[in-house]
Amino acid sequence: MSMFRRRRLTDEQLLSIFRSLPQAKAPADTEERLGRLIAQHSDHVPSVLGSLPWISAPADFDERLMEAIRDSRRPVAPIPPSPVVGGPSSGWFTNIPGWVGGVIAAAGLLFFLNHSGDMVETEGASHATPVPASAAPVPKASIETPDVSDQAPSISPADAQSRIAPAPVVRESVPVTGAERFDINPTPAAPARHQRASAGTPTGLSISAATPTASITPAGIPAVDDSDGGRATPAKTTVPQIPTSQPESLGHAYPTRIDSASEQPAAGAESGPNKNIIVDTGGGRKSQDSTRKNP
Amino acid sequence: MASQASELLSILSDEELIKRFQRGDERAFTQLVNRFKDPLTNYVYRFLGELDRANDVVQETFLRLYHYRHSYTRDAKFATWLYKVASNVTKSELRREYVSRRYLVHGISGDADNDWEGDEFLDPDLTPEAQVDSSLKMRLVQQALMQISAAYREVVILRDIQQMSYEEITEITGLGLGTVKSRINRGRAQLQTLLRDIYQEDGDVTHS
Repeated sequence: MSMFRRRRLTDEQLLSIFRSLPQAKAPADTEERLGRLIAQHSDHVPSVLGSLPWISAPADFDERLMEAIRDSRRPVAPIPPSPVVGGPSSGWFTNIPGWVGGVIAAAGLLFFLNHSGDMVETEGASHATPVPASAAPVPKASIETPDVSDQAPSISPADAQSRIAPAPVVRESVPVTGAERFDINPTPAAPARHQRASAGTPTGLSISAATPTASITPAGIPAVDDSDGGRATPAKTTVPQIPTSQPESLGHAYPTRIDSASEQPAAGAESGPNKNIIVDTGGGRKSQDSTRKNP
Repeated sequence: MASQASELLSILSDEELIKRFQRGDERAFTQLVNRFKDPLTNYVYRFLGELDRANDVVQETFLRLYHYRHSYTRDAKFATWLYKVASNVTKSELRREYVSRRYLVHGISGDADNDWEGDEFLDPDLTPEAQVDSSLKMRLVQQALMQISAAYREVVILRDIQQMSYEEITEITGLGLGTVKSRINRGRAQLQTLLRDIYQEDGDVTHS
């Protein structure tokens, strides 16, 4: 560079010097070698790929396609609407947001926690120590056996037997079981169904010889039917039959019984034949279950 | 009369046929199917490597064409639009295969050698020796294609097998021209390496 600076060569002089240099030439087979090089690197691939055989559709392609089109055109049954117009449906239930479900679950949990104590108490009461029938609270009686213990005077079993002597037309029917046998409206405050009368648990109307706290509907006193809204039904005056045995099964809720110490059956005497006595008072057919007799 | 109508349809362009089909002429759809079922089958088969799945994908492509015929507009060539649909369906199939193979110990497809089904497409006029060579070559090339990534495979197939222009490939793939060229070159380079190795092994086996 210093030499050029000293001599101060112009650009034209530089160009002429470069032009005067000997020209180097490419070898004659440059193009051939270049072509081979290109073929080695990339052009080989297109030719190989281009020479691949053509894959065609199968012969039954059209048929299968038309079948698929027919299948896809088939109408789909619509989703049935909600049974209540504007009301919830199962689709609505599954599509509710997660937070709504959470709120519902939390409310349910709160309800359970608030009432779990009551449940425990009820459960404990059902397994409580049995108390004598005379000491236990007498639940509300139903239509056929209304509880009038606080209204009617207590009577002894013998008196009761004498008073109920003129019974109306009584006919026996075929033994029935289960719900048919105890066709009596349950009392709301009655204890659980598995409590047996022999244990002394109040299960409805009961008459005890020693403590005659139970009562029998006197003739002529209209019974109150709770099931039909408390309307008086005088024609349904019932004539309770003094049972001679315990009901064979107290599987039905709150059967009406008349316990009598004088007629208390012996232990194991519950297997007598079921006799369902129908009291026909002209106002309909009612069954009295507690009239089974010992064999 | 029917033959005249079919002749008329056969001379119509793809765009005119789809226009007729959009107006309700289902014969135009049949004509389009006849035109494109083989190219699409070839393209999808090279992409997937399995003939049965390729047939399913092509059928799904035509089903989409049937149901979504009105989504085609004259902005693009019909062929590139249909290839784009087929490419999307094929990629969905590849994605499904990837997921199923990821969660299964053994793949569904099994060994490619055992599932080879390309011999039926060989030229029947070839001699038996040439058919064997061609079958072997075809199998090796397909194996090499399946080894490169799907992004390269797609553009290489479109360019070197389907003989499409760069512009058509850019329309189908939605990529830029430079990206398409780059991917094609990289795909070819990978294939070149794979095929050279394969041919070498093949040559060693043949010579030994």
